[in-house]
Amino acid sequence: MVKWSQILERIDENRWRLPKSYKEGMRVDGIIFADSQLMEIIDQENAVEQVANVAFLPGIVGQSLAMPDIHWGYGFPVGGVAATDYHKGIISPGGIGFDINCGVRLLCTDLTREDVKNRIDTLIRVIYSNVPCGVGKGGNIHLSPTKELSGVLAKGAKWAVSNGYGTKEDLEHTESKGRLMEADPDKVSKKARKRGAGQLGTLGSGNHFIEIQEVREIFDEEAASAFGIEKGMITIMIHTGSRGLGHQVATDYLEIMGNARRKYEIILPDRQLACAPIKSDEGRDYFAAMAAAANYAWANRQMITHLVRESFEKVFNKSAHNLGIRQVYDVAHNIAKFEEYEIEGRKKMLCIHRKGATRSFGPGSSELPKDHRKIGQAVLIPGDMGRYSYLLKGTDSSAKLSFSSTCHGAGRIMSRRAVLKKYKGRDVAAELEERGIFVKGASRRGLIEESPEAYKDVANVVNTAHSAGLAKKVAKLKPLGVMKG
Amino acid sequence: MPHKQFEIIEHTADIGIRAFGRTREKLFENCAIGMMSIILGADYGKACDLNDAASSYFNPREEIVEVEAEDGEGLLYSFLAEILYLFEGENFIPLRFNNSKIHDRMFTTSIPGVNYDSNLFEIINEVKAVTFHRMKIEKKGDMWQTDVIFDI
Repeated sequence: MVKWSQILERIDENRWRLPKSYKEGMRVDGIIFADSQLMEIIDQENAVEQVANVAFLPGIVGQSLAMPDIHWGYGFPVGGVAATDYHKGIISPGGIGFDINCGVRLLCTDLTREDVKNRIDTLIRVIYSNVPCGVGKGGNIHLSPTKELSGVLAKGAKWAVSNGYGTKEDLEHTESKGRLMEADPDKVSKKARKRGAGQLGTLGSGNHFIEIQEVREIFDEEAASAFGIEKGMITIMIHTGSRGLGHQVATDYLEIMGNARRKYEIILPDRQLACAPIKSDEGRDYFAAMAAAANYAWANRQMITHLVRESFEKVFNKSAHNLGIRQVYDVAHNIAKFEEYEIEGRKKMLCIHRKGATRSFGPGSSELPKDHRKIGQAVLIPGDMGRYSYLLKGTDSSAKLSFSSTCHGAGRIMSRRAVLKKYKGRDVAAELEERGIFVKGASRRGLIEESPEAYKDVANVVNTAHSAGLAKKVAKLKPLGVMKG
Repeated sequence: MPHKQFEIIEHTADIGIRAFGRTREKLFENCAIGMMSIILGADYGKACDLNDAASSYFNPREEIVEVEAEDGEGLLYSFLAEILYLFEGENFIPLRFNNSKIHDRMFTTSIPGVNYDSNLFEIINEVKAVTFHRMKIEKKGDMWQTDVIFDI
C-alpha cells in the first residue's frame, strides 16, 4: 500500500501538502498539520483521502485543512477545517458533525490540591448524582418542547443565565457569548425538539466527561495570569454537546441536502459531504437550525456548570462565589461560523467549518472577553482521562495558517470494540485510582472503551499545534477526579 | 434454510452491521433489527421473542412508518433514522415489521412494538446517528446485502 507520507509533499517540520493533482475534482490543495511522529499514525488510516474529498466542495477558499489530531470521520475528517465563500460557496452538515457544538468549558477555583485531597471521590460522587449521564439517561429539567425549548434554542447560554443558572461573567467568557444570533428555532424539526426536550443538563455518553483537575505546569505566566490560572490551582473541565437534539438536526439536514444535490448539480465523492449553497433555502435553513442546536449545547454546558457549582457548594458548605468558581472560557469544536479574513489583499466573508477543531483567535479580537483581549483566545484541549489536558492561547499567525483554527483533542487510535477485546475484564477505575485519579463511569464497559490506551498522547498533538503557530501552550492540567458518561 | 439477519462489523471510532435479506424489504427490516441490537444488545433479541400475549404486558403499540427518498440508500437512511427517532424521541421499541413494501421512491411498513422501559431493557450503546458511510445496497447471489455504520 502506498503511504500518505509518500504522496504528501513536506512543506516544513509541521506541514504537509496534498496537491490538488492527487485526485481529479479537487478545487484546492490540502494541508495537513503534523510532525513526523503524528504522520506515522496518519499513515495508517484513510483520513487524508477525506481531506482530498473536502477539497471538492464548491466555493472552498484557501486549502482543505487538517489539524494535528486529524483522524477518520464521516465526510469531513475529524480535525477538518474548510472555509467556503459566503456568496458563492456551500455549507455542509458533514463539516460540523452529528454532535453540533460539542465543546469544552473550563472553570477555575480558589481551591488547591490540599483543599480537595480527601474529598475528590465525594466531589465526583456528588457531581455524578447531580448531573445525569450515560446512555439513554434523561435530565431533571423538563422543558415544554415548544415555548421553553424555543427560548433555549434562540438564546443559548443566555436563557440559562436569565433563569438563574449562572452569571453574566460566564456569558462574557464563552465563545460567541454562548449564543449565535442567526438561530431560528422554527428550523429545528419536531423530532429534534422531542429528543432535546428532556436532555438539557445531561452529559451523555462516549467521550463526554466532567473532570476535576490540578494545574500542574505553567508555560506562559502572563497568559495564565490573564486567564486566572496559577500552578497548583484546582480547575474543572466539562466536555459535552447538543445531545439528541443536535444529532437529529444533523440527521434531518443530511437527508434534506442529500435529496437536494441534483437540484444544485453538486457532484461529491462521498454522500456524507452532502451540502447546499449557503444562500439557498436549504443552506440558510441548515445554518439557522445548526445555530439553534449550538445554542442548545451552550445552554447545556451552562446548566451543567450550575449543577457542578451546586455540587461543590454542598461538599464544601460554602457558596460557589466564596469558592471562587469562575469560568475561564468555553469553546465549540464542532461548528460553522461566518468570519471575515483577508484573502489576496481583500477582506472576504467566509463560512468556516470546524469539525473537531477549535477556534484560535489571536490578541485584539473584539469577540474576546476584555480580560483576555491582550493575550488571545483561551483554547481548551482535553486529553484522555489518565494523562492530562491543555490550556492554550490563540495566535495571530493562525489567521493566515488555518482560518484561526487549531486542534481539539487527542483522537482515538483504537476502535471501541478493539479496546474491549484487548482489555476485556480490566478494571480501569481501579488502575487509575492507583495512579491517583478517582474515576466514576456509568458502566465498566464504557470506562474500558475510554481507557487512556485507546487515545493518542495529546501532548504530541498540542506540541505540533504549538510549534506550527496554531496556538501556544499556556498550562497543563492533570486530572484528579473524572466522571464519565 | 434460514440465513443470518446481520453481523456486527468493526469501525475505528464506531460500530456497524452487515445486513442480509432475500428481498430489499427484508434487508431494510434486518438493518433495523441490527441497529436495535447494537442499542439494546442481547435484550433486544429477547424482546423480539415476546409473543403477542406477553408483549401485551408492556404497553404494546403500533407505528406506521412511511419514508421517501431519491434512491435506495437514501430510503434506507431515512428509514433507519426514523426508527432511531421513534426509539429516542418516542420511547418505541419495534418488535416486528408487517407488510413492508418498497414502491417507487417510498418505503412503508407497519411496526407492532412496545414502550421502552428501563426496568426491562438496558441500553448498551447510544447511537447518535445513522451514516451513509459504506452503505451500498447490492444483490450478491440471491441475497441483498449492505453495510451500515452508526455514529456512537
